[in-house]
Amino acid sequence: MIGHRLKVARSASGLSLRGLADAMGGLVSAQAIGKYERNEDMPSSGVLIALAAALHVTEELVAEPGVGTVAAGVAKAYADLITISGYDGGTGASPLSSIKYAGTPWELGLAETHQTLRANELRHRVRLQTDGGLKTGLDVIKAALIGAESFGFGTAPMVALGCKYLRICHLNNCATGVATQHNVLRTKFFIGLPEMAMNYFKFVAQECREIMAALGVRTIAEMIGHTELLAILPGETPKQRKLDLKPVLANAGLVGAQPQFCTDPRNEPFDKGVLGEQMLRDMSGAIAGKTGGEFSYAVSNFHRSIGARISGEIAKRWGNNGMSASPLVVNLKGSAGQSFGVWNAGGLHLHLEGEANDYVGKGMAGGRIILKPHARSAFVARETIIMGNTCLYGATGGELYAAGTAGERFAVRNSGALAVVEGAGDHCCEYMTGGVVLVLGRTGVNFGAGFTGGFAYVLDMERDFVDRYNHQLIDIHRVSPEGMGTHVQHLRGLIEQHTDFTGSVWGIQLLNDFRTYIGKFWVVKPKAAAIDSLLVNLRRAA
Amino acid sequence: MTDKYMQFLDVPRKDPDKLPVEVRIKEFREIYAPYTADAAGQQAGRCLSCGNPFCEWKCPVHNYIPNWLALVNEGKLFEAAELSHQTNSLPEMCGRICPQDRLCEGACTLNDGIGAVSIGSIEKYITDEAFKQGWKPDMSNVVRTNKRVAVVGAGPAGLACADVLVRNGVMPVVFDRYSKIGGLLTFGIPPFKLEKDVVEKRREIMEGMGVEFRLNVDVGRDITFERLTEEFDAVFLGMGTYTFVKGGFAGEDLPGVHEALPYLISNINRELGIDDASNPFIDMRDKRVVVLGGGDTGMDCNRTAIRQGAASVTCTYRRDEDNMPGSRRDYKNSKEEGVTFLFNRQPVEIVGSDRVQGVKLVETRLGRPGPRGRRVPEVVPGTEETIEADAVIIAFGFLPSPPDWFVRQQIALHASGRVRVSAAPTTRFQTTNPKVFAGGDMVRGSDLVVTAVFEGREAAQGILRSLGLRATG
Repeated sequence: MIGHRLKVARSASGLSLRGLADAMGGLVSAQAIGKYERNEDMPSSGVLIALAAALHVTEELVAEPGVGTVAAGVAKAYADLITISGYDGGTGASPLSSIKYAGTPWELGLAETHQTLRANELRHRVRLQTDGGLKTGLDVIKAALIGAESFGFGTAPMVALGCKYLRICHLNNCATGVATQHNVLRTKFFIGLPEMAMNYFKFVAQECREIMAALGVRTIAEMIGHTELLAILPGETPKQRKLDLKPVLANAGLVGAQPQFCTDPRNEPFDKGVLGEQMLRDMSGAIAGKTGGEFSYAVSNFHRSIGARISGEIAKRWGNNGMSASPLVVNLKGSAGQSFGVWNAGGLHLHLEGEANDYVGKGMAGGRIILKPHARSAFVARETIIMGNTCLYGATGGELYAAGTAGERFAVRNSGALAVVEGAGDHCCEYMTGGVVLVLGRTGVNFGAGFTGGFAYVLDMERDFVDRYNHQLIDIHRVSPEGMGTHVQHLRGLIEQHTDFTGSVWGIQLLNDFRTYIGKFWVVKPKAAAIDSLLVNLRRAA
Repeated sequence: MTDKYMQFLDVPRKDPDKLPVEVRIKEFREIYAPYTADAAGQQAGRCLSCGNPFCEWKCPVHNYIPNWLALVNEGKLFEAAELSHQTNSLPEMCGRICPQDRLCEGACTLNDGIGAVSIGSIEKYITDEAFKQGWKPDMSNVVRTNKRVAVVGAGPAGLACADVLVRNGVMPVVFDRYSKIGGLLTFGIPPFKLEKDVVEKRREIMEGMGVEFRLNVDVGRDITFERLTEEFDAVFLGMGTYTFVKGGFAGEDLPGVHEALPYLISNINRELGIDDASNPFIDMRDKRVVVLGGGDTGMDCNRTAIRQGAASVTCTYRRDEDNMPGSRRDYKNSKEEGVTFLFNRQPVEIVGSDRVQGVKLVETRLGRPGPRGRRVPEVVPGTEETIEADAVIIAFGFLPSPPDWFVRQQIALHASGRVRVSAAPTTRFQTTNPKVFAGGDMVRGSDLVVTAVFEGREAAQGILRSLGLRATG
C-alpha cells in the first residue's frame, strides 16, 4: 500500500531513489526506500515523517493500530457489515459500572475504520455502521460525514416505547415492561406501540433532511466520508482546547480516489470451496444411497473447512448421525487448511496424513477424524504439533485421534467428543462440560480452567502436571491398577484404538510397557463428580 | 418469601393510617400515624432502586432516596438517619410537608399505575424513630474553627445554613424575632400538618450540635445589622417573604377580611399559648368562611377554619382543579374535611356595608398561555354571582418584604424586591455585600420549605468558601 503511494509521490516530485535519500539528509539509504516502494519493508513513523517532508506531501494520519486494523481484517474475512460501537448510550441495559469507563467514542473508531478501509481499498466491499448514543438527526449526519452508511439506535427508540432508562434491565423487574420477561409487567405496564418508534424515526429523518438541505446535499450517499463539511470548534475548556481532532476529519490522503461507501452487493469470499464441492459431487451418490465408501484426495492449506460440505449434506439428508453405520472414509494427504472437519457429522471419517491448521473438528457432532504424520516424516511425532489452536472447539460428539500434539486451548468447550492426542498446549480442556480427552504427553499450563463435566487422562512423565492444571474446579487422581480396574481397562482401550488408527509409535511403546506407564497417568475430573461415576456416566451418554 | 426485585408488585403502596375525619376536625393534631418498623421496611422495599433515580433528581436537595430506602429495608435505621441528614437539614419536616406528589413521589418510576413508594412517610419515619431511639447527628469528626456566622431568621433556610456551618466547625448564632425557632414551620404551617414538638426537638438537636439561638431579637430594631457584620465573620439572611398579595378589588378593607398569614399565626399562637398582641386571635367559629386562593396557604387556612368550627368553608380558585398549585394531598384532605371548592372563579368584589356579607365572583376559563407558560384565566362575561360570607381570608401568596436598611448595607435587590445573589459556583448565594449571604424565599420568592433548605445549605457552602474553609457536606 505505502509502496505504491510512495512511488507515485516520488515520481511526482521528480526525485530518484538516491535523490530522495539525499533530500532526507541520509536518514535512510536509497536501497531502503526501494524496499518501501516494493512493500518489502515498512518505514518507521519517524522515517515516514521525513519522507513526507522531503516529498512535500502532508504526513496524513496513519491510523493507530486499533479498531481500524481489526475492521480491515474483518472486511478481508468477507464481513458484509461492520458496526463501530461507541461508548455513549448503552441501551440503559446495564448497571452504571458497565456503562461508564468502557470503550471510546464512536467518532474515533468510525473515523479510523473508514480511513483504514479506504486506505486498504476495502471500503467498497463492506457496509459500515455506527451506534452508541445516536439520538438525533444531527448525530446521523455527523456519523455519515465521518464515514458511516448505517446507523444503529438503541436507547432513544426504547424511550419512545416507554423505557425510562432505569438501568435495572439486568434484574428483570423493569417497571415499564420494556426489559423484562415478567408477564404482569409486560402485559400491564408496557405502553409501547410500533407507531411510537415510527414517530421517533420520522423526526430523526425530518431533522436529517433539514440539515442535508442546509448542507446542500440530496442523499446520504453524497455525504458519507465528506469530513470537509465538518468544522472543528475551538473548545470551551482548556482541556478541550488541547484536543487535536484533525485526525478524525483526516482523509488518509485519499480524497476522491476511493469509494466512500459500500458499492458491492455482497462481500463474496475469495475461497469458492472448490475441493469441497468436488468431494460432494464424488460422494453424493454414496450419501443419497446411504452406502458409504472410500475416497481419496490431496489437500493443501488453502483448502478450508474440508469435510463441512459433506457433513452438511449428511445431516440434511439423514440427520447428524444417520450415516454412522455406513461411513464415508475419506483419505487425505497434505496440509489441511483451517477448520478441518468442522461440524463433522456421524458417518464421515476423515483420515489425514500430514497436518492440519487451527479449529480441527470445531463443533464436531459425530464421526471420526484421524491425523497422522506423513509416512516419510523424519521428526518424532509425539514432540511435534500436528494441529493448530482451538481444535474441537464446542464439539458435541465424535472421535479425534492425532499422532502428534495439539496447539493451545485444545477441546475448549468440548461437551461430548472423545479425543486422543500426544501432547497439548496451554488451557487444554478449558470450559469442558462433557466427553473424554486423553493426553499422552505434556500439557501446557492452566489445564482444565472452567472444566465442569466429562473427564480426562493425562500422562505425566515429568511429574509436574500438578503445577500445570487449574485447581479451581477440578481435582486429579492417580490411575492405579488396584480399585481402578475399569479406568485402567478404558485407558488401555483408548490407547489401543489410537494406535490402530494412527499407527502411533508412542502408543505402541506405551502399550508394550503399560505396567510401567500406567502409574504415571492422572484421571482429571470435576471436583463435583465422583470418580466411580465417570465411566458409568460415559456409558449412559453413549 | 417474595422476590425482592418484584416486591413492588406483591406489596401495594400503603400510606400510614389517617385519623378519621370526625376526630381530626376537632383538634389540631397531626392526622397521619407513624409507620411501624415493619411497615416502613416493607414499603421501603418496594423501591426498584432505579439506576437513574428520578426521585433523587426531582428532590430539590437531591436526597439519596433509594439508598436510605434500602437501609430502612435492611433495618439500618441510624445509618439511614445519618445518610438522610447528609443532604437535608430538616428531613422530618420535609417528610411531613413537602408536596411529594409533585416531587419525589411524582417522579417515582412506580407512579405510573403501580403506586409510588411512600417516600415522604418513610423519610419522616427515619428521623422521628431515630430521634426516639436516641440517635444524634455524628459530630465526632468536626474540627472547630474560630469562625462565627450570624444567621438572621430561624426559618428553614436559616436552620439549614446553621446546620451545614456547624457541621463544618463554624459557630452559627441564629437570630429570630419570634420566641420560637422555625419561622413559618412554627407559625405558618398548622399543627395538623406539623406538630410543634417536632420543631422543638430539632431545636434541641441543633443546640446539641453547637448552634446558638438568640430569640425575640429583631435584627434592625433590637440589634443593628452593623453590629452583626462587625461581630461575625459573615452573615446569612433567611428572612422570608411576608408582604401579602392583594386582590386589588373593592371591599378588601372591610372588617371580616383577613390576610392568610396573620390568621394562621394567631391560631398557632393560641395553640401554643403565646401571647402576641400584634396577631390577635381570629376565630371562625360558626362563620361562613370564604378562602380566596388555591395554594398551600389557602389549604392551610381552609383546614384551620374547619377545625375552629366554621359553619362552612368555601375555597375559590381562578383556574381549574388540575392547575391548582396547592398540594394534592392537602386538597384531598380539605375536601374530606368538608371544604367546598369553587374552581374557575375570580373574586371581583367583597360585598358588605360595614362588614363582610359576601364575595362577588365571576366565572373564568383558561385562555392562552401567559409569559410564564401557564394558561391565563379569562373572565366569562355575564357570570357574576355573589356567595354569602361572614369572613374572607385572602391567600394569594407573598411578596418579598426587604427591610429598609438593606440599602445602607449595599444589599442590592431585584426589581421585584428579591435579594440579588451570586450564581457563580465559588460565591454561591453571596449578596452584593461580600460579607452577607442570603437564601430562601427572600431570594427566590415564596416557595417550598425544601427549596429554602436547599438554598440555606448552598449558601453555607458559599460562606465556608469565603472564609477559606473546605466544605465537607
